[in-house]
This record gives sequence, structure tokens and C-alpha cells, in this order.
Amino acid sequence: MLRAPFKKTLVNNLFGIAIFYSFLVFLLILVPLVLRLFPQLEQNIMMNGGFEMFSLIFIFVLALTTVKDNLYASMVFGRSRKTAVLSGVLSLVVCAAVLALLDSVFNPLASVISRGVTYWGLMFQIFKFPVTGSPFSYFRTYLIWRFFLYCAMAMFGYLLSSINYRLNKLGRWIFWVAFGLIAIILLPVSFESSSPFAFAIAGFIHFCLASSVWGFCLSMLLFSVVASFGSWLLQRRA
Amino acid sequence: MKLSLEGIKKTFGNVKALENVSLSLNEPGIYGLLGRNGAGKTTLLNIICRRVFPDSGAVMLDGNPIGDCDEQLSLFHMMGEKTYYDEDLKFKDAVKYAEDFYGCGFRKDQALRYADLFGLDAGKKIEKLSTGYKTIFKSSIALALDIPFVFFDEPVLGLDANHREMFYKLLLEDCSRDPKVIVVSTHLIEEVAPLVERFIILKEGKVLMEKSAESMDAYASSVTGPKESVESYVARFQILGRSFIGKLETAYIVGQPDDAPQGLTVQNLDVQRLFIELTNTKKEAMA
Repeated sequence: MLRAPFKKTLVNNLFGIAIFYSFLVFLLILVPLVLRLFPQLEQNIMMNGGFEMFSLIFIFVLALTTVKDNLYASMVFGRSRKTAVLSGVLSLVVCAAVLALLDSVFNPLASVISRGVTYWGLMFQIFKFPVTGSPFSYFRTYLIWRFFLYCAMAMFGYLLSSINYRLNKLGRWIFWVAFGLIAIILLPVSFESSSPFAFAIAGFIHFCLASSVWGFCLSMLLFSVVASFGSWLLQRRA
Repeated sequence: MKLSLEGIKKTFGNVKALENVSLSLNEPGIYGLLGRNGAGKTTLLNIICRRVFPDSGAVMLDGNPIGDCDEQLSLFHMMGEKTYYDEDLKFKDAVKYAEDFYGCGFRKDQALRYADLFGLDAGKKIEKLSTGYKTIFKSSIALALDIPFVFFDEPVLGLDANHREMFYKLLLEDCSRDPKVIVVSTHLIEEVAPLVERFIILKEGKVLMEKSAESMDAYASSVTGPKESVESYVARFQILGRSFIGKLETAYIVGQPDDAPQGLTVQNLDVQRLFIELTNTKKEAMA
């Protein structure tokens, strides 16, 4: 019973990934041309960043669109909400794995094409996880790290989209404006605050995201599970 | 399979969409679900298919409440006015999906044949289709299903006369080939009446009448003649309504009188007229 909705969602999403990656590869091919024409850019070219940020935004948007498509398909073709959510979550997990793999292959390639500009990926550079060992262990660690990061982002998008689906027009306005406002207010407060509570939260976030690769992966996994469970709670009576 | 609704209630804000609706849809055949705009027809069908959740009451299948269960829900299909398909979906792809989802409960060849009969371009996206062809898109899928319960909500919306006739023909063909419970909710009562075996009339969220086609035919009559003669004759009957043309009056009454005096014409009331008289508001009746 799960196979058909899973297949439908997955094929649709993989098609999206194919389009997305065609665009990225196009950009990649464009890099040597840009470098040849504008050699002064070499040191500050975009390849200092990574594909992660693109991929994160992409999988977030993919998750946003998955909820409605999936739910409607289940309604038309006689499937339960449980199956709708499960097929949506599973297909996003597969997409996260595919994106993580593609990024892990294309990032070094991008590095080579951009004439050896050191490349470790923007997000990974921020966290500066100590990774030692052979090139294979680098590849494997980055792959796993990306996979859990993309999973968490996808489930976050899925949860937000589920919330959005359940709200009426007024509710949506209030929710999204409040969401933005909270972010705008919290950002300066988090820099300025010196209360022990803020430090405790910051410490917890640091522990979850930056203590080690495996701690990060576990935190992302827990977040993904909670977000997908929340999505199911929201969609079961949608 | 026995489908029953027990005390279904549903409100949307201040509007009572359904009030204590209890029904049984047990025997295979074509059911006509009639009601005026806002009577609760679509809400009722949506509740059976779990697209909408009732405030109270239950939908039972063989004595068990229908829950969030694939095995139960895959026995139902609702072709509704609202398009739940992806906007960029083509008919040929929708057929593949239907085959994937319903398995042997879907006849792919039939669906493609129906689309061909209606002249639907199977390679065209649903968003590019006219209202009529969108209806054909959804109907062709629904007609090709071999599952116990198929519901059609406004199945001839936007269809021309030729396509409507074709739809009714295919509906009969489908029902005789694979007996199942088919519920047709429509405003085109005259057209659908000859197909229907059992009528359910909803009024303001309540079941006003539930009768077989034969009982419906025998339920009411019209008595036409000079105003004074009609008035004196129908005084002993329950009167549903009246209409006047010059000095002639037609009274719509419950029952089938067989002792009408000379000069009065008595006829069985057709379903559409009966529906109008049963569901007219006081203002409309006075107009």
C-alpha cells in the first residue's frame, strides 16, 4: 500500500533533483570560463562556499511542495494520512541521501575545476569538525554529515508546510509574520544577552551542532524524527 | 460490503452542514444524491472518503468504523468537483498512477478507451484542459475502477449534451459489468433520474427522503384543472405545492389518487418536480 505513493513522490522529487543538478553542473562548467575571463576573481570565487547551501535551500523547498502533492494523491487514490506522511518522509530521506551523495562527488570536482581552490564546504567550514584519516574517510564523513543535515532540513520544511496546510488564511499570516519577527528579535538578543539561561541554550546548541560530527548527526536525526512525527500529528486530521 | 453512516454531524463555523445524518448504502446500484446548493452533498461524500472529518457520528464499513486505514480507504473513490490531481499531470500519467495505487481494481485499458471516446487528449496537462475536459479526465479514471464504492460529485460539470449522454451510457455499462455502489450527486435531476435505483434527498443538512426509484415515482402526483375543481378535490391530500397558468391550477400532492373527477388530469410527479416542491423555500413557493 505504501509502494505506490512512495514511488510517485520519489519520482517527482528525483526529477526535481535532476533539474537542480543540471543547473549546478551548468554553473560548474561556467566556472573555468569565468576564471579565464576574469582572473582577478580567482581567490574570491563562489567555490569558496559549497553546494550545501544550495542543496539545503533546494531540499527545504522540495519538502514544502511535497506535503500538498502527497496528501492530495492519497485523497484521490484511496490512501490513509499515515501512508501519505510515511511516503513523503521516506521519499525525502532518499532525496537527502541522493543529494548528499551528489554533493560529495561534485564538491571535489568543483574544487578541481576551479583550479585547486581549497574547498571543504561552507557549512562544514563554519563548524570546523576535526576529521582525520584517509581521503575515503573524509568522503564518508562528509557524506554522512550532509545526509543528516539534509534530512533535518527536509523534515523542517515538511513540518512547516504541514503547519501552513492546517492554518486558515489569517492563521498563516500570523504564523509567518511571527516566525520572521521572532527570528529578527532573537538574533540581536542572542548576541547581547549574558544571562545564564541564554548561555545554557547556546551551550546546548553548541553541544548538538558542533561538539562532534556524530553528535551533530544524532542531533539532526532526533530533530528529523520529532519533525516528521509532528507532521503526522498535523496531517492525520488535515 | 455494507456501508452505513450513523448520526453524522458537521459544522463549518456557524453553518450546520450535516445534522444527524444516518444512511445505509448496502446494495450495489446507482444512488442519486440530490440536494440544493449547500445541502451537504459534497460534505457527506467527503466524510465517507475521510477527506473531511465529522464532528460526531461514524462511518461504518461492515460494522467497523472507517479509520486511517489503507485497506478500507482503497475501496473508495470520489470523483469530485475539486481537482486533487497535480496541475501538470497528463491523463496518460494519471492512468499509470491509478494502476499503481488500485492495482487490479483499476482497468487501465478501459480508462484509455473512455478518454478516447470522449476525445480527451491523453498527453495534455490537466491545467490546460477546459472545465468539461477536466471533468472527463476525472470521470474516465473513476469509471474504470472496479472497487466497491465509487462516488461522482457533479460528474457532468461543463459537459455538453453529447458528452453527458455518453457519460450516462458508460456509467450504466460500468455498473452492469462490475456491480458496485455508485453515488451520483448532481443538479441535473431529469437527466440522471432514469439511471438511478435509489434516491437520497438532502435538505439543509438532513436526509429529507430516501426511497427507491419505484417508490419515488409513486410518491406524489400532480392534479391539473380549473382552479376551483382542483382546490376542492385536493383538499383531502397533503399538498406539496401549487402552480398557476391563467385559470388553470396544478396542485402537487402526496399519493396517487385514482378517483379524480372528470376534467382533472392526474399524473405521476417526476423526480425533478417532486424535488423542487420538497425543497422550495416559502419565498420560492410564493413566487
